[in-house]
Amino acid sequence: MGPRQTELLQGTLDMLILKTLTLEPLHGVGIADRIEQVTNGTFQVGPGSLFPALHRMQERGWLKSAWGETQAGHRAKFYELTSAGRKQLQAEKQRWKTISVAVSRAMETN
Amino acid sequence: MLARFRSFVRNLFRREKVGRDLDAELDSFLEEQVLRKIAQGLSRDEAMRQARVEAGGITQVKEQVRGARTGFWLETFLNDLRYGARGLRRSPGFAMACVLTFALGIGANTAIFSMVNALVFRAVHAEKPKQLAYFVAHQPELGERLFLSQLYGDTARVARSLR
Repeated sequence: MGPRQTELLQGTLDMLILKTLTLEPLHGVGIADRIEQVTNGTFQVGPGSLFPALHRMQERGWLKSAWGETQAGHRAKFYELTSAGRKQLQAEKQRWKTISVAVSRAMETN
Repeated sequence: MLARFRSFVRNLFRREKVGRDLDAELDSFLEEQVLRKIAQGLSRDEAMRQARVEAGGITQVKEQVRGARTGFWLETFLNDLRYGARGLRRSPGFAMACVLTFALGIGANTAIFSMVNALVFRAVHAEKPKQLAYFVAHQPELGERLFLSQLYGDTARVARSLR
């Protein structure tokens, strides 16, 4: 059985997008691919959730965007992390750590 | 906060441009999916069809992005207003009835309020309103009754402290 497509935990998508963009600016397809890759296909982000998230995050000032060219040579909109976005990523990492530790502990308790 | 305000203004006043930008972005997304499928050996038509299906309807995606934007509520509110105005124009009889109902309601309210305002809330039109008083005559066989104004002159002559 292949990897199951899992519903993204509320708020997790933003964190994954921020994390994905720490290395380099990427366009929509690139972000979705990267997330799918690093999670071994567990998370497949469709455009219906990816693009609303990107636009929302840009409005909050976490990302900025510019048109550029992909490796294949066609125009696409690339997203880049802003300094506010980096700060947000740190905050979300912290939050995620707290949550995951708490949940694991709860599940391991007999 | 500032970034959000800026995009709010941008979304409102440059709706066309924001919309075109989104169209272009989603077009390029779709195009890339199509190219990938062609590289996998599909015909262009089939690749387009599959990419569209996988994207879950581009119009729907656009709608979702619009819904995520700041100022979305104002946009929908303005749409509702426009829709309402069109509806009224389409049925002038109904519109007329509405206007008349409002006119009647507001008119009646104003009339009643003006009256109550003059009688109850405003100071009595007298030189020294604080010195005004009610006089009640106690007559065991007749019960209480308001002092008649004709009697005022007689009383005033007898009781000097009234003035």
